[in-house]
Amino acid sequence: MRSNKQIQKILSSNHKPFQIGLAIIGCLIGFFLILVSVQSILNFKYLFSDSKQGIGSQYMVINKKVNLFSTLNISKTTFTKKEIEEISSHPSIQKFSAFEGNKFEAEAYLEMNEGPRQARLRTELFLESVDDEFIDIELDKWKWDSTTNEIPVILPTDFINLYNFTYAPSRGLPQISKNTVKLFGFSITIRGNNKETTYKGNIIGFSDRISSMLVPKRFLDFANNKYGYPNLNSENSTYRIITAVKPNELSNFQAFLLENNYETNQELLRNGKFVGLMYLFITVIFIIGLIITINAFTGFILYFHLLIYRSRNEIDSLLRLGYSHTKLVRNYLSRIALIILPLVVLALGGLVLSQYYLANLLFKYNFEIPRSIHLYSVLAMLGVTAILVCIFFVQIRSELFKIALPRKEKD
Amino acid sequence: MKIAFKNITPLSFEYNQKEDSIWGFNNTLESPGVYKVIASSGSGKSTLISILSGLRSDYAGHIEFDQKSITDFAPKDWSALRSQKISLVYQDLRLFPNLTVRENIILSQDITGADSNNVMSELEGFAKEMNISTQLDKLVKHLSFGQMQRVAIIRAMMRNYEWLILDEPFSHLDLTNATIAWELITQQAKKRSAGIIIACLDPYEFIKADKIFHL
Repeated sequence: MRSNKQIQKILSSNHKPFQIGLAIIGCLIGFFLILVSVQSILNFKYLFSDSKQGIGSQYMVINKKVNLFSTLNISKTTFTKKEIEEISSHPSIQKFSAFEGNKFEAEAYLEMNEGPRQARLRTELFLESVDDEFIDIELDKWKWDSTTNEIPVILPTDFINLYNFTYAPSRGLPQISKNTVKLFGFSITIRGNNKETTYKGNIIGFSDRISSMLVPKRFLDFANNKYGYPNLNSENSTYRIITAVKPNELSNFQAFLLENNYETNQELLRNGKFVGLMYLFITVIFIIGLIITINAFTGFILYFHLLIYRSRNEIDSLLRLGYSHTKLVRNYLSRIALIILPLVVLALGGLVLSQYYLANLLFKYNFEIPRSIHLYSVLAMLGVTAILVCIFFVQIRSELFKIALPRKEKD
Repeated sequence: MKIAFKNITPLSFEYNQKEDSIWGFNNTLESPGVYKVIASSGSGKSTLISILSGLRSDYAGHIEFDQKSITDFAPKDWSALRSQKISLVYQDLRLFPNLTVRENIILSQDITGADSNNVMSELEGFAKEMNISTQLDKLVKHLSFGQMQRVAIIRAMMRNYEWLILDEPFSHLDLTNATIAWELITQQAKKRSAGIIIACLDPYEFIKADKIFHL
């Protein structure tokens, strides 16, 4: 059409861009907050996924609370089959294993010769085993078969820390490194069911995850079977359970633990609370972004209502010449698109830059998130924009429709 | 195209029932043909034009364009009618004051989709005959009302139409310019076999009509 320029001139005669300046700024901020919140949720999901540099699964050792009744042997702190099934089938759980303990007597002997000092350590032992997938050290030495008398053992890191920083200084004993401890040979004597055998204990590593003296499950099954006291073997003996919890489900799982009065590491629960709070925080940002965007869009709609009201004569004249009201609607839609599209591009550009900066920053702290923004962020932005533009379309169309139809009375 | 008035009466004011009125009677206007509506102020000339052009709906009875009642017209039907079947000169002219004379006319032509070949020479020819050729590139807001009336008449003539509807088109023209304008209007309408409805206060003896209505 040759006269598009003239039509733009007519419809723009009452256009005062500075009047929508605030709405434009508000819309840009709102768009950016929406994008940031959606991208933050996706970043969190990525961090809490099983990705190499993510936070990964959260391991929790669960037990029942010990109280006066359990001390008096009125209630038990073992898990029933039903309870175990309930925990293992919880949607927040990725992996699950019950601890198995020794049902026989076990003692360890360790002799140290350090210069003129000599020490002989003897202690009773408690041994436990869990499924291999929960062991947090290399598993190549984590094997046992009945033909050898050597038992691989994993000690908790806390043990050696306690020795080095509490026991040794108080007794004037030398501190020892993890590698030195691994060289120590110590003996484990197992006694029960009228049998006794001495094995050689071989410390193959230290676990940060499990605070217990671990032996291979295969060995413990064998030893419980051979040396275990019959009365203990017949009892349900699951006192502790280890679980791998989906990192983004920590707060859900925490609620489950509280509901059932189970105990676990409080530090991990605090992590769960932190994750829950972060999600809440992001949701609040999203809501604020949405409110700002809706307000800004309301500003646009009001401005365009005002523009149409001011240009009512011109619009009426165009309609009287036979200009189609759908073309008018399209004209106003293209105007809002010319305002909104650059804002969408700017907001997306801002997000691309901030994501890149954040990814680099987190990388320094050994966390990894994608350097590029997620497609879902773009889709969320386009979705919100499309909904708001549809509302705009309906509003403007009905306003122009009113002008286009014959009126019941003289203006 | 036929325009049929079926017992239409205005709802917004009291009217005097006259024998040769449009109000309250059945009348059919056929193109080509010239119909003059003479009325004093306040007797409903502009109301009639507004009803015919779909601006007002405060009337009783029916109006049909080619046996199609305008009561049920949607905005797109009005848009089609205004752009192809009727061309109007409104009493308040409805020109765009911030466009030049030329732009006003070209815009209107564009909307109607009229043949744009020789548009400039035709426009300049009409402007010359109506003594406004020096005003073509001036903004309309800088013209006198009489000049604007002539622009509105040229604009209406250069569109596609089957009916030319004029509401007091010569109110600010002297007799000479009004006669020239009427000559041009009738010539152009004849070329297109279009009908003319002209509403005026003055009987204008130079307007020879096939039928005269008094409101």
